[in-house]
Amino acid sequence: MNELRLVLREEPPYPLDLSPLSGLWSLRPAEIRRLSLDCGGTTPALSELFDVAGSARSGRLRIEGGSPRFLRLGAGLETGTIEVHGAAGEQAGRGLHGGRLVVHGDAGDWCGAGMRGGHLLVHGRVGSCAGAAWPGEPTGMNEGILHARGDAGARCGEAMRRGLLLVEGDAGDCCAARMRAGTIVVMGRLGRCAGPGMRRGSLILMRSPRALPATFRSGGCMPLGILKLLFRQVAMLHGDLKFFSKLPILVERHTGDLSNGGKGEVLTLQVR
Amino acid sequence: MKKLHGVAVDDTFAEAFPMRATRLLVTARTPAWAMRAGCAATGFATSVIACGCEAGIERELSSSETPDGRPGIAILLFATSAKELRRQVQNRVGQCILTCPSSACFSGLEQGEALPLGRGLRYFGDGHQVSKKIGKTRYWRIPVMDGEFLIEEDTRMIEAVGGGNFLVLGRDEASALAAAEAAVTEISGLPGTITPFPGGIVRSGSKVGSKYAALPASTNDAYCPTLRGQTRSALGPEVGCVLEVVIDGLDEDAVAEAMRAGIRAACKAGANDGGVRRIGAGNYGGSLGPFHFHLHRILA
Repeated sequence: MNELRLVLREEPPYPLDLSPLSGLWSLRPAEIRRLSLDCGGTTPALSELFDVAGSARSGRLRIEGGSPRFLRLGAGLETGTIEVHGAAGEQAGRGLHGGRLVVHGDAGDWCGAGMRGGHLLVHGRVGSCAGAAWPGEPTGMNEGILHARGDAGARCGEAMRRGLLLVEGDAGDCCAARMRAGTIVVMGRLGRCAGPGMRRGSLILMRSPRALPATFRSGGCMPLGILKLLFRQVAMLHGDLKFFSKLPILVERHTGDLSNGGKGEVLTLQVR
Repeated sequence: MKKLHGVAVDDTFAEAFPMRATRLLVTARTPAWAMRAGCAATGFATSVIACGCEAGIERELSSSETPDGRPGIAILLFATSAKELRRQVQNRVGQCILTCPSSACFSGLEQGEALPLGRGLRYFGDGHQVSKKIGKTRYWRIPVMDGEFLIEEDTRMIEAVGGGNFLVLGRDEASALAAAEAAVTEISGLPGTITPFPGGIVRSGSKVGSKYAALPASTNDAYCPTLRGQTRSALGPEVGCVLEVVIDGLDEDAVAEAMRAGIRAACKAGANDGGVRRIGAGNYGGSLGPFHFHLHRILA
C-alpha cells in the first residue's frame, strides 16, 4: 500500500496547525482532502495547501516541503509514522503518545514538549524547551525517545519525568532544569546553569561542562553499570551512534541539585 | 521389555507436579564471581519438602548474552506457589546476589506474571536508591560499598513442571554413580531445565507419607537394596544401588527432552561395563501429579 504523500504548494501565510494530521489513519482519500486546517483564523481544506496522493491506511505519511510556520505537526500522535522533509515548525510532536515522527530539517520551540511515548527524530536543530513541560503542565517529557541530531536550544528537558532525550549537538542554557527523572544525553557542549532545581534523573555529558551550579557536588570518578544498558539503547537509535555500545562507563559524577533533594546526577564521561 | 544399549527400561512413568518458576540472569566482573553468586543463591534448594524452593544453575552466559555485557549465569528457581517463590527470590537474591562483589541481577524471562525482584530489595538503599527506566524496563541502582548494585525491578513467573525423574538401577554404587553422572552431564546443556540435587543426583528417593505422622515423606523402601527381603522390594538380586535424577523444567517438553537425553546417556554409560541393570521412574500411582512422563513413550 502506498504511503500518504502531501506536497506543500507554497509557504503558508500564517501559522498552520497540522495536529489534525495525527489522527487521519482511518480517513478515506476524499475525507483527507476535505480535512479542515487552522491557518491564522482561516480554515482551508488540506487539498488547498497540499497536493495529496496515496493512502492513509498505510500508516505512513510523508510531507514534502516544510515550513517554520507549521504548528503542532505530529502532536498527540498515537500510531503510525509521519515524516517531514523540511522544517517542522513549533510544537512538533508535542504530547506525542506513540508512533514515530521524523523531521528531515529543523524543529522549532517546544518540540516534543510533554511527550508521553513514541520516537521523535529531528535530523536538524531543535529550538528551546524541547521535551519540556508545556506552561501549566506539571511535567515535561514522560516517556519515549526524543533524538535531536543537531543542537538544542535553552531549557531542553525542563521538568522531564521519564524517557530519553538525546542531543548530538550542543545544548543551550538551563538544560535539565527542574528535571524529575529520565535521561538526557548531550554529546556537544553544555550551556550555562545546567540542572537548576533538578530532583532526580541523569544528565550525561560527553564533554566536561565549563561549570555547574554551586548546588552540584562532585562524588569523584566511578564506573556505573547502568550506563552499559543505557548506551546499548542509544547505540540502536541510529547507525552513527553504534559507538555508544563500546563507550567506557567511567564517569565523573556530580549530584544535585542539593537545594532540591540532590538525587539528580550530572555524569561526565571519562574517555581515556 | 524395551532395551536401550542393552539396558532394560521399565514400562512405567515419572509423575511430576505443577510449579511456579522464574529465571534470573546474574552477571559479575568475571565468570567466577557470577558463578559464586549463582551457587550461593541456589544453595540449599534441592527439594521443596524442606528448602522452600528447588533451584539450580541452568547454564553459563557469555558477555554477548547478558543485558550489561558482562559474563554471567542463568539460574532457575521453582516453588509450589507464587507466594513462596516470591519469598524465596527476595531472600536468596537479597542475601546471596546483592552481597556478592560486582554482581548485578536481571530477569531472564520476558513473558509471565510480574514477580518483584528489585522492587522490594531497593529499600536496602535507605533512601539513596535511584531507579532508571530504559525502554519499558525499570532498573534499581542500590548504592553498596563497591559501587552500585544494579537490579531489574521485576522478573517474570510462569507455570512450570517439577519432579520429572528417572531411576538408574545399577550393579553397585560405582556403576550407578558413573551412569547417573553421565546423564546429568548430558542434561546440563539443555535449556529450561535444572537438576536441583547435589551433582544432580539423589540417593534418598522418597515415598509419600511415613509411619511417623509428622513426616510428609520417607525413604522409598521399595528401592532400598538393604531392605530387600524385609519389604515389598522392586529390586532384583542383580541391583546393588539405585540413584535418581530429578529434573525441574520450565515446561513439559523441556522435562521430557531432559529425561530422554539423560536416560540415553545413562544407558550408554552403563552399557560399557554392564553396570546398569535397569532404568525406572518414580511415581505415586498417578493420582498426585498431573504430568506423567512414560519412559517408553519418551524414548520412542
